[in-house]
Amino acid sequence: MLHEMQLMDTTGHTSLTWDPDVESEVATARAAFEDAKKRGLQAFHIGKGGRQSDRMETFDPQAEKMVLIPQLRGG
Amino acid sequence: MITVAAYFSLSDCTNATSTTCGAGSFIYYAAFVDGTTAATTTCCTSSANSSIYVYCVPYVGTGTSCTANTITPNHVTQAMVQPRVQPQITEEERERLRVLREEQQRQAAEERRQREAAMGRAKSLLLEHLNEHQRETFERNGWFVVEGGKSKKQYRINPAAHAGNVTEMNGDKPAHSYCAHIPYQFPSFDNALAQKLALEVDEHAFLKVANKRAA
Repeated sequence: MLHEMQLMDTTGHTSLTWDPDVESEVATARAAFEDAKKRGLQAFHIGKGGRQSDRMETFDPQAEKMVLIPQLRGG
Repeated sequence: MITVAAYFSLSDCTNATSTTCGAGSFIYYAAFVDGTTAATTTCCTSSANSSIYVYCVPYVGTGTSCTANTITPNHVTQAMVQPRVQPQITEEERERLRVLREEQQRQAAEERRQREAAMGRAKSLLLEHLNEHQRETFERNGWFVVEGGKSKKQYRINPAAHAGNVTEMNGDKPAHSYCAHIPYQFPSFDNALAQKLALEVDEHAFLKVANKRAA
């Protein structure tokens, strides 16, 4: 089953999927995750089946779904 | 030296057929490009010559009737004569402007299309992350409610606005509004999802950055 990362951007969002058993795809996803974190995005692992969502500081290839969002600022 | 005080278009001249002249007032002359003047006190001479310049100069005569002799081209230097009438543009220039205008319209339409596509994608993403009850509320009211991860308080999020769109609810009544958002260039539905995740996962961090106001 493919895992998915959703990165928010001005087009709405960009999706990236990877097979956790395929090393090259995991590497691509990890690179995208780390690049997004360097740009200041926050990562959330989306809980499924009643599991609570939580923050992610490092890439977890086993996380089935994650969303990366820009920082919120007070307005 | 005569100072050119004002400039008029040819259409202004049609209303200036009777001009009272006196000290400090103005008379109107139509002058051809080569500097000769029209021997008339009215502005509207033959408009066959599209290079007619119209200008207004202070009256320097002593009587109340204006004559062409009052002002001669010698009194007006070429530098002072600036036509209000639009100069004729060449066909080439007209075509260049047409192409430019079309390109600008095409770009504006493309930008509009991209903005609408981004809004559509962002709305789909938000709906994907709402539970069934939140989705029903959103479809019905345009807003949805999330529970704060720490306090279990209810927060209403309205994606129609980008800022000040989070309301802490006290039962059915709004208690406070909070303003914390992602940058404005992101679609507002993405903003609503970011706020939802922040409140559910790290409510304390959200409340720390948000500006709080009475509802």
